[in-house]
Amino acid sequence: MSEKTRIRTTLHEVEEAVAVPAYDGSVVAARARSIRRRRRTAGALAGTAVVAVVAAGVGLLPGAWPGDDPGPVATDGWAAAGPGAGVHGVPVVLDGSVQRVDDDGTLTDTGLRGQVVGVVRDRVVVLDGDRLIGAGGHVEGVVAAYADPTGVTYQRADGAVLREGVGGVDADGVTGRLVGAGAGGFATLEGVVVTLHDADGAHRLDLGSDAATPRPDRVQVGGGTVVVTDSSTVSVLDLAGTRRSGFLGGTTGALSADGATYAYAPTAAEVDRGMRPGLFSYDTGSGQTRRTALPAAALDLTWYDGGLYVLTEDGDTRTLWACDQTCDQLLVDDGGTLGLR
Amino acid sequence: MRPEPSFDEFMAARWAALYRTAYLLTGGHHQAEDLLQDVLARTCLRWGSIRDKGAAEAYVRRGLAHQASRQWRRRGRETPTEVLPEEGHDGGLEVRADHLALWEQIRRLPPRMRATLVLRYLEDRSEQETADLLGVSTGSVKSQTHHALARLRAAMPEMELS
Repeated sequence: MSEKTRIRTTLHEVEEAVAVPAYDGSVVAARARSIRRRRRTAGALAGTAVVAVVAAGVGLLPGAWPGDDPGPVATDGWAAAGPGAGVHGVPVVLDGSVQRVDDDGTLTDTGLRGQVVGVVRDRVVVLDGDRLIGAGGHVEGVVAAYADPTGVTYQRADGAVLREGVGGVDADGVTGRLVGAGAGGFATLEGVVVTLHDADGAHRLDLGSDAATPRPDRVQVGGGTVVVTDSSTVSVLDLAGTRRSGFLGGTTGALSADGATYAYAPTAAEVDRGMRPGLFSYDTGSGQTRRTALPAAALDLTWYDGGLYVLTEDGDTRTLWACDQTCDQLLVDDGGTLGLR
Repeated sequence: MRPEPSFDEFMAARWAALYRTAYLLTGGHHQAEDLLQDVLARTCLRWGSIRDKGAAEAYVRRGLAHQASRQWRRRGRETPTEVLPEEGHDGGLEVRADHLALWEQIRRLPPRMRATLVLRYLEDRSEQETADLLGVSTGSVKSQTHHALARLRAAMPEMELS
């Protein structure tokens, strides 16, 4: 008998012989309640911090969405009304509808459809065709939009870039295409030239004399950090356009709202090309990278409420993971339609 | 159309099979029950979001391997089990004497080595699948398998495990 056969036979025999205790559903139910309580407690603590920061900025809001009834709180455009109000959790797109996944992996339909732009003050903002929807109102004629926890920056068909929320920069007569935005400013792309627009004006990004990023296809702005990716490289810059660092690979990633962390994970194609699997958190300040095990190739990443969420793909199965020190499964979709945008 | 099973119905049908897998992964009854209850509690919370209930067992089995792997990481560096998790448990196993002796040695392996053998040899999973389930590289799976077999050979030369 071969070694492998002997071990297999032994394991099979033990498997069949082991005494199985009776199933006690009440124990499992009690443990489920305990896990739920722990998660809610943790979520409530995190939520408190976010609300405190946002509330401090409410008085600075420029106003409601066009067409909104301002209501009794005239400066708060993100009123608790409209589609998706009162629903929490990371937004996902499942079978074409925008839903939110809470800490327990429970899905709640927001009633919205379209491309997820982001979450502002716990309200999902979507771009449905040229209609930007959020905060109980909408704006027509929008060609691009980017959200961060304190507001949304969008571009109209005439090129004007507008900001709803705290911080950000407005600009008329912008000739480039809006490709990224955050509370600190926004980025436009014209040809292969990326220009950053902040409170001090417009800055052409220095992407390196070696033309390492010849055709940028994504720009992310968070805090004072800008991350520009093309098909194979990542460049990290500051808002003035000065390059701070860069690396090869890692283009499927997401910059945190504070700009402190760029998280990335290899796709199936990158793993095939030899990139090490896992989730990598790059500290944009120190340049240090931390690796967390991730048992599948990445499809997309996003930040929500200070937490990192990774969507992986394995055949037709897509899995959403909540990642911190480790990655925990949050949702499994065997239909293969789950998306983060 | 047949209605989807509730979580309790699913568990009533699959508890025994899942428990047996948990036992082989952990090598002990207490550890198996704890691991399985933990994974089932998490599955219970997510039951509504598992769209294909027919795939629920595979989901739980992935969870068993994944959660077991997480527990080992939290416990830090693995050490071989010199003292078996449960003394004298073997009295309840009615298996061939030579197989019982081999199982005792498998139980003494560090948890990840034991789980690697279970996934590779019992469940017949590929190195890549095993690596994914345990959250390690395929190189680690190869290494764990190699060292596990080396330990078993050293412990049981009379078994001619070669």
